[in-house]
Amino acid sequence: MRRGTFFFACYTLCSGLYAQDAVTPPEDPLGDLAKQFHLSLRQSVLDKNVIEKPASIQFVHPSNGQDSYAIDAGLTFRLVDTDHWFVGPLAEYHRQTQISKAQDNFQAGLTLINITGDVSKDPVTSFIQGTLKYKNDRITTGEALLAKLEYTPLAPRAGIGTSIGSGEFEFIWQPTVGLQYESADDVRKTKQSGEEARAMANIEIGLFPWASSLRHRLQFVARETCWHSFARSGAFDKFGADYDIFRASLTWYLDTGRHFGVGIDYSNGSDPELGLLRQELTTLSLKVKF
Amino acid sequence: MPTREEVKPRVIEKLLMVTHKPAASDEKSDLSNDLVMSPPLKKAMGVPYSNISRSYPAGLTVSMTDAGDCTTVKDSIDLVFKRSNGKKG
Repeated sequence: MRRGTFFFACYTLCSGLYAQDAVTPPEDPLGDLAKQFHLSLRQSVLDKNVIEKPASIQFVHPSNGQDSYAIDAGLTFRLVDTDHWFVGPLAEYHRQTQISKAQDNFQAGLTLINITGDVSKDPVTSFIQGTLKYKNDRITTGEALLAKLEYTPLAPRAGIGTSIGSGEFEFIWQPTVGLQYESADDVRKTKQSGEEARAMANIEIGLFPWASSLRHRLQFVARETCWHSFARSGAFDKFGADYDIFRASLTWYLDTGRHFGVGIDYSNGSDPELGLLRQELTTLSLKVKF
Repeated sequence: MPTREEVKPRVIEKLLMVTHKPAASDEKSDLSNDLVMSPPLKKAMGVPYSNISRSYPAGLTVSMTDAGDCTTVKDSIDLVFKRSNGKKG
């Protein structure tokens, strides 16, 4: 975090899906409305995070620089929705106006999810997600078509999907692997088109120190995502074949309902899917979750 | 038509089998915060929930989105109870 910079961040959740008091469930008109219209709003509707992240709007006011803002939101709608299958259109928008980490990325398309197996009986259940989407990235790739297929195993007994460990120290992790194809018309502002096929691997780990005593109010989450381009043409040839981004966050929820928290978030790397250029960033955030 | 008291232990049994946490027996427990269930795991609970609901004559499937939208154990019981009685929404 820059010296002398005052950082104020406010997370807002427009979906009512978090509207749950630990003792008595309150009225939740927004959540009911979202359910009625089969809508979901998240920071990303494609991410399979260990800890689900709310849609967010951040405002940054540095003491010696220009104000900037960031938006991370994703919306999806259900066309087919059964216990094993989901098909629905999606839209995501990610915007960051700060020059050093500029991001302006709109995505829209169709996603399909298949769950194979019964997680209460089988040692491993498969969570497979395929996505075909149009991407308009005004910073790195211009207009692009992105197709991807991802596999996430669920094995609760091994800590994949739910935490394991002693009462005072719990641990959860989640791996995902996938294949991606991207065709873009303005690769990294070269005004040239290109195509790239990538393999992707993601691993996310969540730690809960003093889990029982603190009721999971203290959370540390680390996530490493790597991409390797194994086939490429056009302007993509001019750049490196490997991308990676490391993200970590430490959050302390102030209330037992876990609505209000403070946290430190750190990220370092580049994300070709979100059009995020390589950068290192540390932020101190006030987190509000409903 | 099953009663809620009939469905409740079956839902709790599924949650205990998946999470191995005693908090699964408490209706007030939060699936994300107390049982530490990830979003994909909550969605995957649609399959075992549907096995319960469809075991009744009027039972409907519990979709992965509805299962994923449950916040508490109570929500999960209420959802399976509704689907077991053929109720949508």
